[in-house]
Amino acid sequence: MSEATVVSLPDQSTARIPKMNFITKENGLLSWLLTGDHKRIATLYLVSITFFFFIGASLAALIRLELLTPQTSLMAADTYNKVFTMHGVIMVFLFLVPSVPATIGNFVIPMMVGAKDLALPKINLLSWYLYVIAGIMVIYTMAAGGVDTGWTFTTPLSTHYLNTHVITTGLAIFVAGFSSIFTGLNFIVTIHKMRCPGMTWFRLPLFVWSTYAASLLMVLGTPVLAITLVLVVLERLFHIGVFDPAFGGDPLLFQHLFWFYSHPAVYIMILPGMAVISEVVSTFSRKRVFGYTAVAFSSVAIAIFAFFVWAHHMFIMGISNYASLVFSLLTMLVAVPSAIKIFNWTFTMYKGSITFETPMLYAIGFMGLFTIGGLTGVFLGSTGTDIHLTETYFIVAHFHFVMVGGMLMAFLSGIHFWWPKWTGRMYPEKISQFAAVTTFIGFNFTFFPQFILGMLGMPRRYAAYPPEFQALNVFSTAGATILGVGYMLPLLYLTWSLKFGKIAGNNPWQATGLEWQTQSPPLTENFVETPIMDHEAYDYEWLEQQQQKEVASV
Amino acid sequence: MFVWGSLLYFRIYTPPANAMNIYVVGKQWMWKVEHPGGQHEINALHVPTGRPIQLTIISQDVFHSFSIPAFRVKREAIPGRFTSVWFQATMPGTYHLFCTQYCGTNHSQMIGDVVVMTPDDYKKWLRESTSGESLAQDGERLFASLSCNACHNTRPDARGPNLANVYNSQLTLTSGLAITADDAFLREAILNPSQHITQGYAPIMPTYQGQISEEGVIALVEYIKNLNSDYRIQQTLNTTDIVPENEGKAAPTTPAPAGQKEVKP
Repeated sequence: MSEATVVSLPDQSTARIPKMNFITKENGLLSWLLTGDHKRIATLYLVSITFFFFIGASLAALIRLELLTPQTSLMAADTYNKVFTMHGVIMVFLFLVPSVPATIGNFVIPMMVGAKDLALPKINLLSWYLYVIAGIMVIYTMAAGGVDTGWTFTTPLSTHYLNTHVITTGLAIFVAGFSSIFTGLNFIVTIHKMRCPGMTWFRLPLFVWSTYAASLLMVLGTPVLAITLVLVVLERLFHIGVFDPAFGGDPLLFQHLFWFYSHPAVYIMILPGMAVISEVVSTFSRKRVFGYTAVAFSSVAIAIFAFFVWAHHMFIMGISNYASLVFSLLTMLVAVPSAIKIFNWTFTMYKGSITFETPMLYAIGFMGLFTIGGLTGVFLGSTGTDIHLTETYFIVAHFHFVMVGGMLMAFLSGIHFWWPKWTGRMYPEKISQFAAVTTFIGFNFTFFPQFILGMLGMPRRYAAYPPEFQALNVFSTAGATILGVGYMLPLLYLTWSLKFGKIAGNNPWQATGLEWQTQSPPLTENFVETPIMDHEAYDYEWLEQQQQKEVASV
Repeated sequence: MFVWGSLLYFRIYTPPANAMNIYVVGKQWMWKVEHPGGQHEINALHVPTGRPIQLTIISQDVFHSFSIPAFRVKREAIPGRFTSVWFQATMPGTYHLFCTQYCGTNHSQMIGDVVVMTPDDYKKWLRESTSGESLAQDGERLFASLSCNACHNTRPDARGPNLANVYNSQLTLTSGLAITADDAFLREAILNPSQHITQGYAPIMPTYQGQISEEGVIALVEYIKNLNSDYRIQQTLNTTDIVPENEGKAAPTTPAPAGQKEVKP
């Protein structure tokens, strides 16, 4: 690490956390539980999401432990099935989907557009309550014996052949779906209607563009999942015969409906991650994001393409060969906007004054891992190779490279980036850099062997596997241990920094977003007076002039 | 890359005309393989080298997926629908056979071996493991015992269409739809006949949904596929009374029941 840094903290001997801020405004549990303040709701989300992340992560640890040996040595096959199902359900619906939008997005979007709050604060609170209800239902399911359908709920397995708690899980996801619809709706309205004077669409930070695209997906895609799950529940209860061939239904119909949501869902998960990266890369390269409009429209393009690629999950399921042909082509087109982003971020870094604070380390990790994740997606999008690779560990590795290597890295990057704004205090830099590198190394050790396992043909969701696959599985489990350390560290030192972190001041990163031009932690109303946007986004010269003016006036 | 991938895809899912057809039924939690010569296997598949093998796959309960990683083939086994895939083995040996679609408790036990043999060894294996009756003969017995031949006989006043040479022929349904009578159509026509009435016939055929197992349907389909003359059906009619002892009687016209070498669709 070079000694160069952009961090500019106020003099620690005189600096104070502002007395009046959104955390100190009101006290008591009720003031939190009945709040309409987007920053408090974001905090509630942050706590609950972290809770579910660690449940999901412990389940992942159990999976890796079981796979240490080829036999079912740690748990019975049934238990294993439940564990990986709950891992999937919790991580996808209770962590990845709401992670960046509902926490970081909730916290920064109103400030970025220069507004006092989201357009519909009560709906925002409602969506958190829905999330909590969904979470409680999932925990109930786990306590009551779990569910073993896989997070994909494949019919007719889920409708007729299992006796586990499919209904409560299905309804939990149904409720969580509404939580995400409301969040998306809120963002769309806010971004359309609440921008401050001078904040045109093309002056919005790219975070807002990306989250906007994700919100569109939430609002348009999630209802389809809701309908599908209701149909699964009805089919289980009343045998209405939509999906089960024994009652005249079509099991492939479920696949179509499910993936019509669940493919866009992975973009719901990754777009907000990309949103974070745009901000972080620009800030720590001291440069405007290269090709602002291209990056902005690539987000929208991803959102649009997302709806026309779902059948690539079904290439081997006997859909017409010609349908596969079309969906394969469309799938490969999605690579274009994703590549635009990666190239533009790289060009942003090119000849920039790069410094390697923790958020930047995570962001660089994201760019590397997401690129691998994205490129392996092309192998799966290509029909011929998909036949061999699908339903093996190759899929598992690909999905985790995009979701964990991409999204989780972006989430951690964003948390570290906005932590000073959120709490008014800095996280400890050295140990967090260490954690970022540990995560990166652990991640590669865990998931890279799984690409090879997939190439060799090891099927996924196997509690027991042929012994020749053991070596690579041991590798993967060892990596997961390192990864576990990488995730525990931030939990510990971020908690520590709440009390002992250095005072951050308004703008420790010298970033340009409107959220950095107000105090940290912000006032409940965000700004003292409504800001006026008189410059382009990522205008570092403007920022310098501002500071010179301040110095002059002092 | 797209073109290359798509070419591969079309090749893997378009079996050549001279492929040897083997039926595979997936059920919780095993693979049941039915050879046309009447050999049945569980969680194993014996094939010769140097011949294209077409697998016609169906599931009896939930989604399964039939995967042989070494041959780069994989196809979903879907309840209520035939799917197919083909390959040609080149090296004798034993290879993994997996179920790759999560199918419940013992998903990871639903594995087996693909045994690839030289053509000579394969012939020997076929001889040694035959159940004594070809798949078509099984079908013939079912055809008789379910009284299919009460209507599907060759008489001029028959209530059902003549099934000789029906396989792969063009049919026009009462709905006006023109359709090719392939495996999938035959299966549907047995299980859900009222939707598949050939023009000119009354919708009187009862459904056999739930009365025949998937293996039974496969046997019937295989039997119908091999009906190539009216004479063949009459012979079935004649054997109706002596069903239990009909082994060998239909031999002259049942394709290669003894050698089991080859069954031409």
